Amino acid sequence: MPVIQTNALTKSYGKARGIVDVTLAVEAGEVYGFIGPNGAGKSTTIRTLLGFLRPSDGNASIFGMDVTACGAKIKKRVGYVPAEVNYYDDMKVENLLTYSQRFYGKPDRGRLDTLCELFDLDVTRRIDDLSTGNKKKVAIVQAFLHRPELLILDEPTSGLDPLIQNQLFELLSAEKKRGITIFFSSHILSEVQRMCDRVAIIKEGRILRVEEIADIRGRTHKHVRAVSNTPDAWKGFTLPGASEIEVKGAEIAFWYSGAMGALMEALSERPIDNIWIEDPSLEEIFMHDYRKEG
Amino acid sequence: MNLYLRELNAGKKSMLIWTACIAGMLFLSMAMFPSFSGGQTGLDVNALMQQFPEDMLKAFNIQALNFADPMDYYTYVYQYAVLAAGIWGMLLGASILAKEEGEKTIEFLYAKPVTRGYIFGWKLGAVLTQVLVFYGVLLGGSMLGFAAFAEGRYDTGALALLCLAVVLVQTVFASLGFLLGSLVVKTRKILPLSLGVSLGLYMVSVISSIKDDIEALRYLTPFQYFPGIRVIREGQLEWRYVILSLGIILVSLTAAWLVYRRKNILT
Repeated sequence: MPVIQTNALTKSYGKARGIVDVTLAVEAGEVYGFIGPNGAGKSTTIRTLLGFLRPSDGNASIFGMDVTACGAKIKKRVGYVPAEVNYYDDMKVENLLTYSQRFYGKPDRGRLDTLCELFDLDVTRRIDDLSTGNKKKVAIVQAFLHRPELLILDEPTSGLDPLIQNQLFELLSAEKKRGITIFFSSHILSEVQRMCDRVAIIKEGRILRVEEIADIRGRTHKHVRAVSNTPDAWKGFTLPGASEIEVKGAEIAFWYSGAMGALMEALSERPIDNIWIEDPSLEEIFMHDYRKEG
Repeated sequence: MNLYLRELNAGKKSMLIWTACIAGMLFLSMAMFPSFSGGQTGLDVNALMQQFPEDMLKAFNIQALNFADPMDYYTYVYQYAVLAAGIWGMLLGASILAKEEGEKTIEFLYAKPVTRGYIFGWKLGAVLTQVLVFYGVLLGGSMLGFAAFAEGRYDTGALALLCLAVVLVQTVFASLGFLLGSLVVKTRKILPLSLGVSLGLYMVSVISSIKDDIEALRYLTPFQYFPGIRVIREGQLEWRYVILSLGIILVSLTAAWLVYRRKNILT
């Protein structure tokens, strides 16, 4: 039985689009990525799963229980990190975390201290004194406090510095080994690739496809831009794996899929003044894939 | 219980201020009783009041008062306690539900293993507890005022009834506030709407006092359900208005719950 199951889940806000016919199945112990550009419907899906929003149509269940009928029972076993963190400004971090723990039973001080230490969180500070990144850390700690069986993470890395992001990924890996299920929403492909077994791609409220992460990795492209002030530097440039090659004056831009060594070798033959090799945004990947498929 | 304790803790400062202000106002007003009663100055305030137009006396609910009597005098300041308690009740009821959405903390709360019934119930419990504490302080403050400035000349039963009337009206407004809080999404509208409704109903109350031939107006405004002078003269709260108050409380809370239980949380 899947841990999360949605069937044609739909949420509409009057004329505004929400999500349409979202069907997903997240298996136990799986790390399931949920990617899409901003405004695609990721948070709406999550909020409907957690019962903040009532579905307009379709249904969803977690642990085999309907999300609209058994919300409290489900949430006892779920940890949630929201995309945008808002807490009670008058509270100190410690008070908030203890308050959160009490909803699940007797507070476990040892667990609280361990997690706060891991994320280098000062529990004596007031919530309204915290930066966005530190608020996010509080959100992560409170999601892990009660040892949930399912973690629902909505853009968990936004606002976190790379060091803390790494700690989060390490903690997620450890939790994964423990067998918990993770539903991970993001608009950054690379972090989904790093963690997830499968990924659902959502755009404009609809699931475009669900893929094994290994399949996406095989198709991953880099976006390459290089500048050379030497005249005709890019004349006749070709490279196996490069597509959509575009030369504008001194600059060349193309998509590349293949071995990095081959790319470096090809570029090193040219008099380059500057170079950028970037992960394309999801939007760019979608557009690229569509063009290829079209 | 966790949420209830949190609400009491979060609301304690506001409760302290409102309670101290209202009970303090009654206590300090009693300090002026010796002047009004003529005991200190020899001034006959009752005779002075007869010089004023009757409509004005009615507007201030003082046309039938004997200012030499401490309980009569008390009913004059009591009406302002009812007004203040009504405004506080409305704000309290409206903000306790709506603040979670306004400050976007509702996402934290809803992710916890609690039902909406739990949230609604404990928040209501926290409001009623504050009302109860207020009743105790109000009664205690008033008794102290009588003891200090009116030689202890008060009827405990009548005083308890007057304070009960204050908190009954306050609970009516708190339940109207609950309904408002469940309907309104933007918290910045809570303050003007709460003040608008309570002060609007107070204006109706003033008109109702002057136009005492239009009895129907009394039903419209909880501020007129329990005029102080009637309460002490009759020694009881008028039953039809007690039932009406309880009816409004029940209907408002039921409607608030029906809206709240199906509400989409848009943060």
